[in-house]
Amino acid sequence: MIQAECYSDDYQTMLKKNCADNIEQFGYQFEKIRVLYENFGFIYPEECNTNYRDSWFHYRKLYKKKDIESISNEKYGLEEHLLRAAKDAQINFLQQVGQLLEVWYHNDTLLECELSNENTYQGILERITEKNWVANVWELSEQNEELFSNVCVYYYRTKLNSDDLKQKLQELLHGLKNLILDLRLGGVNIYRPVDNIQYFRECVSVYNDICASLEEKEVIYLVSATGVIRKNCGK
Amino acid sequence: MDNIEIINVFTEKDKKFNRLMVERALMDEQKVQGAERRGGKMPMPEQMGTGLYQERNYDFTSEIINDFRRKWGILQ
Repeated sequence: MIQAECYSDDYQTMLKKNCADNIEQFGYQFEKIRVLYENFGFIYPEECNTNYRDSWFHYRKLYKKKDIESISNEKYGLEEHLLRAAKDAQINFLQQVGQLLEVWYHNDTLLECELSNENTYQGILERITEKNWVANVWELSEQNEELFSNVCVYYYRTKLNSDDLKQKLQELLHGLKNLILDLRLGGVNIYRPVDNIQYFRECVSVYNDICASLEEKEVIYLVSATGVIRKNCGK
Repeated sequence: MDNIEIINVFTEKDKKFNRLMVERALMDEQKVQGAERRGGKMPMPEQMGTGLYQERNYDFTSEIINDFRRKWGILQ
């Protein structure tokens, strides 16, 4: 009987420590990306949690296996699950923001505003006092989704929409889509970033750019309400 | 990781409002949602309800079934 080749105890300990460090580092990354999800009110994808959980299963198996092949399999399995958990969370976030921003970029073709109640919309808009004008309109329209949606589209078209804004939205959407492509293609490329959180940094950078530029143009408050608005004012 | 700074333009009240909006949009989406991407159960459309296979309306037009029968020589 051929005995399977084994790593030394010290080397096994080092591998376990590396794997534990990877799990810990994902925890820090999770704390940060959760902030992005919470800010926009998005729901964190279930698959990311199951991938994180599965990485623990591989970690636990590291203590049961002894031969080189099994330990290597568990180590790569653990890394793969953590990588997928992080990537799925980033791609999902970027896709959600991208889809919502595209509605405003293509608002001419995707949204329509019922103009017969223009006076009511203007009456509501005159009473806005808060910086988050979208939340203010929601209160002033007494949570009537249809009225709320029409007022938002009306305000966007009459006060916010401009060539400058359209240009900015286009730039942001290109940035988002490029990063999504990089993240997806990263899986088939030989290239691996030395810094494990390089893509996460880029994700936060895109988010910061969106917040900074769209806050100035008052559009940032519309992003999370886009689904409701499209439901009521979609063509 | 600590040196990654996230710009925060939303107050706690804004975040609650954002969540409310996302949930309201999802409520309607979920009613027509199909199978989940992976690992999820495939929900049955509401109009199907429970009942026997023969009693269900699968929305197959009879033309498709007739074409199939003609092609394979299945008699009524």
